[in-house]
Amino acid sequence: MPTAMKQTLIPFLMLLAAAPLLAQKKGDVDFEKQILPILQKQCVECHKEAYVDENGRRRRPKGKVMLDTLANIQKSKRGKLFVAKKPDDSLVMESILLPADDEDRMPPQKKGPPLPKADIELIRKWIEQGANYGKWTGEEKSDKKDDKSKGKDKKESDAKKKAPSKKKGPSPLVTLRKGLQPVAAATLAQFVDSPFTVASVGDENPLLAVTCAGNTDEVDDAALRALLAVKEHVTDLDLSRSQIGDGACEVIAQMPRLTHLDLRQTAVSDTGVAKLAACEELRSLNLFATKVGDYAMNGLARLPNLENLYVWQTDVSAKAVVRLREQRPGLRVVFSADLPEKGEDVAAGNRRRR
Amino acid sequence: MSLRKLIRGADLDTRRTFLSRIARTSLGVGAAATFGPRAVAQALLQDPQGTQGQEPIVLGPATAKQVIYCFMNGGMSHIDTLDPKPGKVTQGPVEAISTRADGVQLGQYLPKLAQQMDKACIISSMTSNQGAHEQAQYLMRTGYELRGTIQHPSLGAWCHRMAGRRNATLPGHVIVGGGSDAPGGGFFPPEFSPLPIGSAKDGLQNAALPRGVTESRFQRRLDMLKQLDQQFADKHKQASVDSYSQAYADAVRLMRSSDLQAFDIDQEPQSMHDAYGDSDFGQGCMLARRLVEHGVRYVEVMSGGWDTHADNFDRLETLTPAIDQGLAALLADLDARGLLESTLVVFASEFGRTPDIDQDQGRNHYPKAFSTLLAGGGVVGGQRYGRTDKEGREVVTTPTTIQDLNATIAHACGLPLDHVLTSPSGRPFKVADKGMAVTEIFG
Repeated sequence: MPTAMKQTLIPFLMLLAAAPLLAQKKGDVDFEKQILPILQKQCVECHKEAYVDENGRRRRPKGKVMLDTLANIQKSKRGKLFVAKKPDDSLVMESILLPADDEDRMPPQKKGPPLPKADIELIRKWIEQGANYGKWTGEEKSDKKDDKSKGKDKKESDAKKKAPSKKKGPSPLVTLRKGLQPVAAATLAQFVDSPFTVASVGDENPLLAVTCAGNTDEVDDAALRALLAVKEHVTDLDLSRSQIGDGACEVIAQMPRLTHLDLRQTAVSDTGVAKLAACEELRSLNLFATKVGDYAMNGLARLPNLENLYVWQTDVSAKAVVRLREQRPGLRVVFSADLPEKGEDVAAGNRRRR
Repeated sequence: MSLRKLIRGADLDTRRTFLSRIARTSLGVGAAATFGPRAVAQALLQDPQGTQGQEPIVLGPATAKQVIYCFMNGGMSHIDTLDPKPGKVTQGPVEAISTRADGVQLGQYLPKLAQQMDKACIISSMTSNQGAHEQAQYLMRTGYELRGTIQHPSLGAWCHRMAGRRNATLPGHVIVGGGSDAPGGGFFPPEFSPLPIGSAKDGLQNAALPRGVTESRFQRRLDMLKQLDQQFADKHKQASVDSYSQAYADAVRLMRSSDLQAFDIDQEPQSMHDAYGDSDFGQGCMLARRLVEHGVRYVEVMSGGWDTHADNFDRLETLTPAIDQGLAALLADLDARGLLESTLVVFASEFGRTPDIDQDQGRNHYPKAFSTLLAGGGVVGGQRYGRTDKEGREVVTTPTTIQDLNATIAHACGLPLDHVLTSPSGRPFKVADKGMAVTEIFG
């Protein structure tokens, strides 16, 4: 058929096809009802505000483009995502119109097919009509479900509140040293022939890191009491593989500035770990291969700053882990090892010479 | 511990000497940070062989307490592994696969590593001007260019010396699967030479008493040796003599320690052997994990055969699965044990390989653009830092030199980048020379 007819006929047919979608206002595209669903389905999964996923990893908006709220759309790419009345200047139009084999086409080839022509035309039309968002701002809405998260929707807004403290904010090495006088040299000297290595966390910070690696046979609950001399200063404590038990937790509970505690491969159990609720500054707690179980998880849920918890090879049940993750969405609980399956024949790579 | 009883029983002079020796070997120069007053710190640093009068080292905050450095010897092809260019001629027959990290792809021979990409960061913008193996490897290990005039210490030796040991009984620096020819301690005192372990399966050799020698007989022999040595030591008062005796003392202490089992991978269940794979590299990674569990500061795992001038793709198909298996298991295993947050894992090679494929189906040396992978120890995972162009020929953003890489590792360990240590010949050196740490990849 003649080109002119084709040019009017096809858009007309598309409009007909899109008729059920058309808003009540005559001909004007309604952002919230027509454009927003496209963005939410095809774009927002990758192009939204930075967040922390269930594994504790930070996810950033792809290409620094955000399409989840009005403020974010206007912030991205200096407001050039949608330029009112100018679809050819709008970066989103440019991306969705690229040929299928162009690696910058949106959605990306590996994520799915290109947008249906009807959707592309709808967006173009909306931009031509002035890119009017109506009353939509996108704030206060709960995010679309990620493929990875299951049933966490109602907790996502909590997660967002917790995530910023992970992103920015002063380090505890800065905040916790305030008002703290360095430990006297004589006090530190007493640790020279003790089973503990005691050192500043760095930059001559009065906060201390302690380990007993190499002398684990000698460190038991009684020996730990030597650390009471520096209890106000210890922020990082490594007692892994030592002979301590629940009694040691009474000493540890007296360390208000403790942020990192490594108790892996020791005999601590629920009784001891329950006492650790006093260490409110704890960020990381390693209980790998200890005797801890579900009961201790309740107390740990109350630690306000805990970010990482390791409970592989313990008596903690999957159920308790799920419950803990629901109570504390900002907390990363490592419960099992994500080891690769046995390979077929990896011994072939046994050459050492070039 | 009988050593402590020895200290308490000895007179003041012996105590003081013993203290300084222990500090030097077990705490390393990091002892400076343990004791506030500089007078005490200086005393512990005294070394007549030329480090006299040096400033005490002030360590920075460390996110990495330990390092596992996996080195692919020969120049691993980066386009076929860490920086694929799908759809371009330079990609060759190897496909690109998606990973658990959004927007990051790997070569198809790394599917298991792909599952762990959320833990790792790839620096795709490595660039260097060293295209020959020996020179490039030397630069990577030491941060300095190969010269005829001096042996520079390796990065592991710097880490051992500046940060000291976490576990005084075990060595501070171990190399698995190679290492007797690599730059080790360089001009540092002998106690900072790394311990080479030829094969993870064989573990630490000669660490048990020979048959027929009981513990008491062994002790008598040691006493006799000490008597003989004492005359020599009295006559020649030098630090190197002390170091030599100290090396023996360290070895004996290790032999008697329960931490010796760290070297024995037979203690791992079969499921672990399966997860890491039965290759030298895989078993080496498993040993590295054990050593790090026991507090060894710096462990290197070597893998060879990557110089694929011919049959690049066939050889990669054979070589890479072992690396894929071992590295993926290492990351998952460390994380599950709560060790990844404090252990920096490095996966590197001395240069990349040409984007253009030659007539032998090979790729040749290409230092202009290549990739390194870092994970743990404060590095934010699931990201790619720096980019090469569409075909993988040039670095287009944030060029990162080998010295920058070393500086980044040093920064993670809290080693001061501007601290100068002089060689016995009086020349000044720093841990990464002029390198600048890539701080953006840390959380």
